[in-house]
Amino acid sequence: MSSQPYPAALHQSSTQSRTLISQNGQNTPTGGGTPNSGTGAPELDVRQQLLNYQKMFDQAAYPFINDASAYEKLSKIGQGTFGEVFKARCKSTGRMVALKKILMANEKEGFPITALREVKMLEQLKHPNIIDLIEVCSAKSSAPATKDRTTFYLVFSFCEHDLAGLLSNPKVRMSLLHIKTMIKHLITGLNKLHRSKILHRDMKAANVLISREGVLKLADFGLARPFVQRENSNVPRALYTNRVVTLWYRPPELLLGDRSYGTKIDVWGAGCIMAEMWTRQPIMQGDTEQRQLQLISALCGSINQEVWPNCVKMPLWNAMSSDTNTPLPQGKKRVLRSKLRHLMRLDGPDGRSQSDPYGKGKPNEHLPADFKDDDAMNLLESLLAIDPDKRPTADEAEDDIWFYKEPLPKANVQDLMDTIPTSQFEYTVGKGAHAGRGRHHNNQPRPNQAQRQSNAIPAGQYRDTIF
Amino acid sequence: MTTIQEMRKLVEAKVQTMIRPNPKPKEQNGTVETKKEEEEKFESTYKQMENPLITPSSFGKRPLYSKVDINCDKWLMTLDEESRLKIDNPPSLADGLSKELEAEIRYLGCELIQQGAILLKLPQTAAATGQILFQRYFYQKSFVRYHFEHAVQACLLLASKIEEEPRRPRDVYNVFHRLERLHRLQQSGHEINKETTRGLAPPKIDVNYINTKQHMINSERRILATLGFVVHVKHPHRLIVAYGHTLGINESRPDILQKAWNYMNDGLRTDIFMRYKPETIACACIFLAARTVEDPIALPSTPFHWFEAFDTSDRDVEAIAHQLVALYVRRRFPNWPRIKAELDSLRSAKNAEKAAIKAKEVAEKLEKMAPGDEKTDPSSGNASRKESPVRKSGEKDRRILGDRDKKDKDRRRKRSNERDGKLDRRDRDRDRGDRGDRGDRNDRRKDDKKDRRKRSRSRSRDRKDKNRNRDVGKRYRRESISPPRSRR
Repeated sequence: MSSQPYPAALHQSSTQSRTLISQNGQNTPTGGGTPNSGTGAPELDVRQQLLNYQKMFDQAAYPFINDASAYEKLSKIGQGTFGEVFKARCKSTGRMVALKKILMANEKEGFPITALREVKMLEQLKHPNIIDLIEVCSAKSSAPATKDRTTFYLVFSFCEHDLAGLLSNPKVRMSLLHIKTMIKHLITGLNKLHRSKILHRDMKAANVLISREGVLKLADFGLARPFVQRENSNVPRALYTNRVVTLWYRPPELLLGDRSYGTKIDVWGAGCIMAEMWTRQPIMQGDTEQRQLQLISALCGSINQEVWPNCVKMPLWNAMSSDTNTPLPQGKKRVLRSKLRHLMRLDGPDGRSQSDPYGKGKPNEHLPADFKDDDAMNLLESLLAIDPDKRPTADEAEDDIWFYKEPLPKANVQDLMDTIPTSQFEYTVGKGAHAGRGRHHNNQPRPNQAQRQSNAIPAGQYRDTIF
Repeated sequence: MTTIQEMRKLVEAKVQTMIRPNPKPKEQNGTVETKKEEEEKFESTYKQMENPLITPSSFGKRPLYSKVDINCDKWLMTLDEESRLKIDNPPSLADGLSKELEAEIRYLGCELIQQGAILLKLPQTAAATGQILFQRYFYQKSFVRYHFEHAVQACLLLASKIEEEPRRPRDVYNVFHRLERLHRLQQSGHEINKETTRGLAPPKIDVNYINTKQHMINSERRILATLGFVVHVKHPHRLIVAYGHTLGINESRPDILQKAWNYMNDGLRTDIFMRYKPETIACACIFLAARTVEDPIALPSTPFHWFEAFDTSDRDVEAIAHQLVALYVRRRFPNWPRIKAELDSLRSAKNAEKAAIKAKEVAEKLEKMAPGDEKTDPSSGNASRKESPVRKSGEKDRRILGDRDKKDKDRRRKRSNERDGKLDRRDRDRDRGDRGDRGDRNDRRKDDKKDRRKRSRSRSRDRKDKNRNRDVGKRYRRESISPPRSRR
């Protein structure tokens, strides 16, 4: 009986019990003593079962919001302006989760709208390349000062690594195949986001997680928001804040104060992350918005009407270009290709690539000897176009020819993950390049300052944020 | 940039990745078999992806990891026994609220949210969300336990955020304050026009504001916790338009559509959104609108009713239509001050009950420590002391005419709390005498004829409640004779 599926069993037992009860009630003489004595034990069993069902239905009450005590906090794995993130284990199942605390203190406007958005959007977005929100749970704080206050936690499935941690560890050796697979995942996830009409607005390597199975996941929707597609460009659209995206990953239009941006800001971020796969550190690390613009000009060529016809319409264009120490130097050439070429070409058959500095990794035997990854370069060039209209959409980027050429991207990077025995947290220990990446530029410490801070951190502590 | 050759390469590469490796068989019989194989393959892969911990025997059990489900279907309160019990007997009834008054408060709350949303220039969807949240919340919580005024403001605040049109708590407070004043004007028989509303200024930032705001924010959090973040509502607004389009009445009869829309917005004040799916409600609204609009039209009913095409039964449609029609029978707006007074009385009764229980506990403790010593028994003194603050505050209410009701309430509560602990023999005696004087008027005095000196704790509590009720009743009567005049 136990092997039977329950619906059938329920049906059977209920009819059975009904007949039995009626027999007992009428006490029919035809039945005699034998049937009763014969079915005595099963009858009890059936009743017990029915009672159990009753209990079960009683317990299944709406609404679902579980207590945070169902999870056992193991360690803190992230800290930032947005709150704290803990690694935790589900007590009943042993599953690992990440608990993200929703900060409520100093919240003048009530419950933060960003958290509401995050819950709503993550619920809509069920995709292998997007972080999985399991549930929201609450905890009553016991401190007398904040009595009767509930703290909310978002419960995510746990991911072992973040991209920033992986990239800053030189021992992690990535082949072209790994990079291609991860970029493919990244762009697929981004495409899903944009198709669901959501802007991520905080693309950066630290917000890209990689699960133990080697699947890349986009995380941290704390700045994300739904957007309205511009169908008719004449209709003025709601303006968004331009104080989004970590400075190093901020596209030129945001730096020039655009407030009616679209999905292309995330594409720029994806381009920065893609370049980072080879350079192993953020490609443009400005400390102010002006400096960041200068860095962009230095790498991607100067910003002018030739490459970007609409750039003069940007709100800050006049202010920025009239500055004596202008952050918009003219006459700079686009050196992206030449700067990155050797990095990307080295990832060829000779095996001594940048991502494999010790030459211990297997050479990519299956590649032809004169292999040059021009397609990767082309994709990167288009992702990091100055003009947002010339950047491809995530949909177009996903269909880029690079992903359809040898070596074809795999389903996951499990083999890479298998070579990494420990979790990401050790990677983030005292890694200067990735420590102190704030969420907003105004909260972000100056990189040189961050460097100093991170050097002072004793081993065993990590300060980077994975969400 | 891309040459034709490159394009061809791209297409070829894409096709390569799309082609399945297993060859297709030529015979017809073979194709059927391979299909089956494919299905099996699909099934097996599907099963692999499943959580291995979920077996057939987990039927009916709670899922291992509860999922966040923001779909409002989960919030239909007719699906399981417990919710059905709740919707028939809202939790407020357990605290002594009458069913009529409960419905009245519900109506008032929804009305306030609707008007508040208009004053805040929120879209109608936000107003609808707020009202549905309000209804859901008070099917889980009691009106006596939680102030509906705070919940109304919290719902407005939350709905504005959910519908991506955030408003500040300060704005919500201003609007609510104005609504309160306007309501009082209306209740006292004034018409609402520019003349009468000239004196209404936005409230100052004071202690009252800070307290209210804190209450608002706490209430918002409580709503979220109670509803388990299931706060995103699917509205039938869009469905009405879609169904109208299908029926072909969008262009020819826009008045029907408008009327259906109105019905739906008014229907937010009833519990239909707790009982039926938005699709059903949209159908019912169109159904009713087509019949009640001037120059009604017949919508298709053969071979079956049109709404059956939208998976709706005539039983549901009729039930909703009846509820909507019943909504327009109401003539008078709910009397807010009266509701407030009634809730206050229930609350203070509840508080007194709690205090008495606590006093009893304390007394038991004391008795254990010093048995037989009557003076240490705080309950009798406590009970008789309780009476006076209420009576006094009743007088005060008359003077202030409920203008600072909220403030007053807080003050009163504080005062009663202060007095709870104190014992004053003289006061108690005076109270007793007081009671004797009024005894003739009280029709429920029979119990009291027994030994008055050896009152048991529970009985004293009883009488205290009665006295309180009588007091409140007096207040009503006065109010009904001459409605409170607002200070302008």
